[in-house]
Amino acid sequence: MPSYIQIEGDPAKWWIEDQVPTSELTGGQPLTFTSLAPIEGIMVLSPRSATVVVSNVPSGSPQAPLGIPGEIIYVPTAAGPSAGHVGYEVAGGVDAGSLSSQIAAAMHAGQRLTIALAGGGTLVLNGATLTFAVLAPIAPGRATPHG
Amino acid sequence: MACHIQIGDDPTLWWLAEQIQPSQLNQPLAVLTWYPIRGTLVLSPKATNVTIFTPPPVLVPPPLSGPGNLYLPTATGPSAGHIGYEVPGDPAVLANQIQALMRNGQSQTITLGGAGGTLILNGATLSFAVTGPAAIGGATPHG
Repeated sequence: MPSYIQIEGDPAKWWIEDQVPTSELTGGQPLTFTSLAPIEGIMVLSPRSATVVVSNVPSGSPQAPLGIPGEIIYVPTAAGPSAGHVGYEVAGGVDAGSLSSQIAAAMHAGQRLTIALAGGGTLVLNGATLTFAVLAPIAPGRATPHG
Repeated sequence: MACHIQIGDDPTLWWLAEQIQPSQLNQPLAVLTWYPIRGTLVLSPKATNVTIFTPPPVLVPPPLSGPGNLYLPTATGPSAGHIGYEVPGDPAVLANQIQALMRNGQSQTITLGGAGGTLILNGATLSFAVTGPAAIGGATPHG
């Protein structure tokens, strides 16, 4: 059965590949899911999120995922992701799987994580307060077309 | 060297007067901002995410103007005529007070000027605030 989750402070409905293990949401550990839409990628969910709503949908399927320009990281926004606004592009050579593990560790420890961005910027995440993040593409070279 | 930063889910790109480093974000930080509000940006170590960019060498646009001298995070950012709350007193002192609130995680109640009202700041959760414009170069009379 398809399901989506909504997380504190971000209006997006995140469609999840597998059934969301609701019992694990209160387990005090960061969780990792495969997100199908609006961004196809790896979602890391903090146990510190104030609210998480899990909706099981009897039928239906998610919309097509948004296109991404390369390796990106999406962090919560008040507007949610949209075409052309799918987060920050991370510096080349960063693997989403590895980065998701680092973010989960930062959430678990409540520590900061500094990520180099494409174009020379720097993103500093606060693992103590970050509610979730989505990394895409799941595997290098799988960026979906956009434009 | 100046830098641009974006904080949490506030879409504003803040033009700062100096470069800041990730290592500085472990305590409340007060830094001069040139645009879109000229004033003092007080940044909490509890901010969920802070993005730091090196800006291109371009002239700083003129800052927004209007009543108000305390901007707090919003989903839309400041705009002309909507640059924050009117708080009586010296914005530089207010910036110091906010920095202290963030440091000790306490709350403070502030009586607003202008249309009136009461503002309650929670230093334990506030991600950032911008006071100005009088924090730079002294008070700017208006009214």
